[in-house]
Amino acid sequence: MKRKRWGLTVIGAVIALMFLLPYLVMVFGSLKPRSEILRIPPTYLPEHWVPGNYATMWHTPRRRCRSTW
Amino acid sequence: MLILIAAIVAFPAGYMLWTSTRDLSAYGQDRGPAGFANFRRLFAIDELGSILVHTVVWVLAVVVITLVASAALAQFLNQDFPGRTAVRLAILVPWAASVVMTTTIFEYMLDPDVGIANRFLVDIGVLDRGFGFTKQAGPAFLVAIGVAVFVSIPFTTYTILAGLQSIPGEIDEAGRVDGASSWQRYLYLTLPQLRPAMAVATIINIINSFNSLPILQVLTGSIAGFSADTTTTLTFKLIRQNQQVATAASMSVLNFGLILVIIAIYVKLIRPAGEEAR
Repeated sequence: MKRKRWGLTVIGAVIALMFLLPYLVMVFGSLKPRSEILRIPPTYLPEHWVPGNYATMWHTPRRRCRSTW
Repeated sequence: MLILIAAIVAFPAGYMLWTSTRDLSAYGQDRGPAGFANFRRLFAIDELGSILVHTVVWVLAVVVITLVASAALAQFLNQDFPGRTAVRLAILVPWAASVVMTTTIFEYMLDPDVGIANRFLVDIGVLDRGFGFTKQAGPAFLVAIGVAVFVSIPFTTYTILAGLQSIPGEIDEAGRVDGASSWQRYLYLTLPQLRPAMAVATIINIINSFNSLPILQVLTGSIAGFSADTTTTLTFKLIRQNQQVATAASMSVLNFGLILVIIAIYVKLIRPAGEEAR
């Protein structure tokens, strides 16, 4: 029987995380309230989780988010 | 088949050549022949020389770093370990995602005030306070090279991985028996076999990075001047900022010529298809 190489699995997990990181930031960012995503300095994970952003997405935003940063 | 090629390749290329010799208004209205006036206006741009240098640096850096990183990554993903399929799938994500989206996330993460990457660098003590990575042309250009490498690695890794999987294991085994070190086996046994895969990966990466607009447009498009522009982003700026449609057309012709020359030099020097010709 071949020896399982878990050491490589750990390296693989780190590599996978590197390639997923921007998209994780995007997903967690999508669940932050406006005050939190534009806080200085920002929070890593949402303190208040706002899944409602996905409902708001379907309405025209009143203010452009982009202009503040 | 010939009609198809004529319609999708020859006609647009020919139309581009034709456009570059016309006098066009800001809205693309044809005001008659212009001779070489568009090209004269293009070569009158003082920054053209430095933009050509940026283009060479951009393509070389992106292609070389991508190839080296992908070759290492493909070698790793060719090993057998638990969870390998999951890692292979994770690496596909930057390829599947929109380049504009990925670049925008990087710009947000690197923002000096609200960027998470800057907060992290401050938290671990590398920086005293957030650094505006994307606010000046120099650092922003380096960030753009990084993002371009990031989105180019998936395709390149998969191409090289496919090449690795077509190499019979006996060759490496024979080298092992003859006492070659793992580095010698890679350099003299594996790498020559990877030549066709590497050649395809290189040429597609050269074309992709040379023609790439979105990464530099998102990261450096709002920075004044031409200090982080390649010939492709210059073409875009000529239309969008200067409304010089015809000058942009002559820039496109120059761009088209440049990529043809680059590919010709590459094919001549490396002979990517010549591995059988002895």
